[in-house]
Amino acid sequence: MFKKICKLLSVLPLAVVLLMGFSCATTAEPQDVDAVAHATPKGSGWMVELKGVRSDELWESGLQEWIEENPELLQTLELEKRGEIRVYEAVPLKIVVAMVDDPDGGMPYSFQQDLWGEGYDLTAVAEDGYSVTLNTGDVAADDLFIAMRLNGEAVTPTLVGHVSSQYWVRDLSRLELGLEPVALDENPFELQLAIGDQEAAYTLAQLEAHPAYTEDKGNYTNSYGNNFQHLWGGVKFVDLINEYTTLAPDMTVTIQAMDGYEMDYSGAQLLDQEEGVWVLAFKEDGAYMPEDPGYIRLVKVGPNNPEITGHVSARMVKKIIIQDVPFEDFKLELVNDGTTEVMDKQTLKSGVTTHRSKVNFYDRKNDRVVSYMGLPLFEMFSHFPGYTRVTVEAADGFSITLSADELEGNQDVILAMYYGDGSELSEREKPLLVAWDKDASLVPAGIKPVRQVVRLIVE
Amino acid sequence: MKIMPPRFAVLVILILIILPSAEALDVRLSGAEDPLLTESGIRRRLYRVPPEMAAGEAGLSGILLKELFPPLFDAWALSLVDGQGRRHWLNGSLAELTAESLLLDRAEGWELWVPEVGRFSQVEAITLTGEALLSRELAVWISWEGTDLLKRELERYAAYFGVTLEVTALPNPESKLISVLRGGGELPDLVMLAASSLERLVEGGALQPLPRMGRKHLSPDGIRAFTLKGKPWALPFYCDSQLVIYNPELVDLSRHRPLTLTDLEREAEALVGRVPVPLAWNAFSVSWLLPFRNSFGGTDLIDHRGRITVHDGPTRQALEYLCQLQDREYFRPMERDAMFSFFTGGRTAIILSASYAIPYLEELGVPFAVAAFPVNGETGLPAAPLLDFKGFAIPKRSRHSRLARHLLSWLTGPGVQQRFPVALTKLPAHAPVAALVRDWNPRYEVLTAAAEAGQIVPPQRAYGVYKNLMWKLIRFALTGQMTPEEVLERGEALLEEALRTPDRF
Repeated sequence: MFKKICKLLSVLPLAVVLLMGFSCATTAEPQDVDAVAHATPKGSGWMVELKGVRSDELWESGLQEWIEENPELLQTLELEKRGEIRVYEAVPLKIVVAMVDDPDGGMPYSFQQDLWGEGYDLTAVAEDGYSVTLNTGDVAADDLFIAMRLNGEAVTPTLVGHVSSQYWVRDLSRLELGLEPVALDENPFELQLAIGDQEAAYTLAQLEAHPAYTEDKGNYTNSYGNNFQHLWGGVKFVDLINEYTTLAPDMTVTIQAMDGYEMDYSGAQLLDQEEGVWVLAFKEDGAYMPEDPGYIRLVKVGPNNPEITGHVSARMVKKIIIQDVPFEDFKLELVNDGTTEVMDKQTLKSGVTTHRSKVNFYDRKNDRVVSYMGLPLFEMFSHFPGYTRVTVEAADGFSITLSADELEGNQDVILAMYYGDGSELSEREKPLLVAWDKDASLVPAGIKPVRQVVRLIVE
Repeated sequence: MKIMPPRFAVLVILILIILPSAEALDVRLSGAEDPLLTESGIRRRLYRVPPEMAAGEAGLSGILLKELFPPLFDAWALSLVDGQGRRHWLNGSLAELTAESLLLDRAEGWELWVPEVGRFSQVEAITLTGEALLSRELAVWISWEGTDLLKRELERYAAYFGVTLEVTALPNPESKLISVLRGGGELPDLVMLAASSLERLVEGGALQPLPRMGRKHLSPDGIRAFTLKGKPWALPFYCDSQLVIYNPELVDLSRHRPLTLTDLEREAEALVGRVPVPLAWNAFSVSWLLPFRNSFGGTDLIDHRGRITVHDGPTRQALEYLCQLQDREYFRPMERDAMFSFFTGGRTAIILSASYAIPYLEELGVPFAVAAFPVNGETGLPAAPLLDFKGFAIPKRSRHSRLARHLLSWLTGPGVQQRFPVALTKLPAHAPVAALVRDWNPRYEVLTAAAEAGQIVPPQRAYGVYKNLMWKLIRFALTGQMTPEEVLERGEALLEEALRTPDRF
């Protein structure tokens, strides 16, 4: 059997070359789907659309030519239906599947046996729309065929095989392979913020990488009285807003939806976190939400599975607007050789998003472990090659000096901007704090926790 | 003996063999050792047969023959034994033999009606030769009101037919379907949907058309609501119709037959001072503007090219009319929650809502009565309520599409249709059942009248875009910030622009 398959696949490139009318086989770069589809010559007779990783068409005339040049492709099958033996003349389905089961639209085609064995949905659609879907992992690729003749008479293409006739499809018009990849990166959606004079935009990927990203339970009841409970994933609303201002109870937050619908929330409403926290969710039970009710929906989550009414759960969230608000920023000075670089909150936040690191710090004074999130301290000095030591200064003048030898590459010492759960630091710690992990493999000499960090001096 | 069914006809062969008579009805698949059901098991499944299905005969109890057999992939012969012990052989296809065949419970015994063939009295045994479906699992997504009740119906199906069902209630199954289709997750085999989302799903290649599904008894409006490009993509399950709902302790609309816009205005005028808001409905939505548009002469919203004209005479007149009602303090536009709050609190006497509100109001125990939408006395045309059909479709990539069709056929059949939609005061999609229940529940007289005058929610994507757009604009007219004329002019321009943007699906 193995030899038979090898033989079949060995003739395939030649057969396809003949089908396409080209003079020689070439290995081409993967091509654009449309480019390939349009390159396929039109044929005559029936046609089966093929849709997989790419698209193509199988024409009756093309298949006939293919068989004339490679008669061994055509097999005679005796199959039983309704207690009656029927004789089919057919070609293996997999030589057709091979045309669209990988991105390479050029020749020679190769059948992706491994993919078939792993299993994907194969949908065969009849001319009238009736369709049958099977998982390829449940059926041997050699057991399925496309028949062209029944008991000596020409028939429209029919999916048949050594499987129950319940999987057979007459008047086959389309084959679809469930191999289309979906990538979050392809979603161009951006959440927009307009807070006071500041504007910002986040892709879903950026929100997922945000320190305030969380996942927890929540449920809502719609106006029909139906309750829906999910595990939501999203960014904490208040924490996101507090990047730009401090949300106050008397503020008005306007949420604009993609369909233009607007809804106003009071700051007090969003700050009410007794039952749970408000989250701009874009994942529902682990899957990204569709455009409606997603891509982003406002929900409340928490360990106690808080319930809200569907009315306050804004869906299709596109933009968050807060007008006339003060902006709470901070400045961190990075001093080197007489020059001072000033970094703002946005810049530091971006750094945390890119180099996020968490530590469990042992607070000796209170005998407790506190989780902090920020970026490794040494990342702040990446553009000062050859630095030897760093002084960290607090707002009150307190400072420590650390050796570059013990700091460089040390992931356990961080410049923290948040607590480990993504929430804001306390007032006595803001805006930044130096902390290290209680289990750090290397604790730099002379290190002490520094709160309210305002300056880093690099030497 | 090999039985070869003729392709287009049913052949009856009568074999005169006298067989011993049996006391109970024996229903079985050929080759099975045991009957499928006991006599009492059969009787538990019976329902009232609508007269329209029984040549006008009322008061019959029975069941479609196919509802006694397990889901079949194919069948090619039916044999039955009558009271005289004669065996009859019927050859044909599955559909010919079982789709419309009806088993009736008569005082003198079981009677089997086989369309195009005849009636068989005092039937004692029925044997079907066919092939059972291999599939025995289905995933079903449901939504909207009554999901708990619908789950119980689906449990009944699972028990009757030995099928394992995974039923999921979702707030928006259409969007979820698109999401899963994109993401490559597990698709359902049957999904509930609103007609308004049909085009998006069809364009996205999410559904398989259902041309082979029987639709003989289903509402023509319901079939139209789920038909696009000449193909049926779903079968209607039930319909909500818009109605006038009023507080009979404050006003009596039943004396107006038919109710006219002038009657409504007079009643509202009499209510001024007695209640804070005589009339209220969600006039921000075109769902409640389009009926009035119809009463001013508006015809199909979407023309044969699939386009919507926002700024036309009937729409302008309808919007002006609503603004006038508001100026005279007869009416206040309110979103649904506020409207029900006012109505249940006795602060509003008359509201416009859909039939889904009826169970809600019944549960609250507030006094209410229903009336059909008013007629415009000047034009003689009725305000045509929107008919919001919900149906079931089969995703193209369903792994059990044959079994899904079996379930869909059962859901739209006379048994379920007498139970589920009626329990929620919705209009059954099964027309003979709708006619039957009109006699049970006086509210159905109004509902049926509303359906007869109604217009279906268009299945085209353009309607959804139009609805969202107008949601933002109508309020400008109702708050006096723009004239109705300005609102519609602006809407015309914006809709054209919006429809140029391709659907992101």
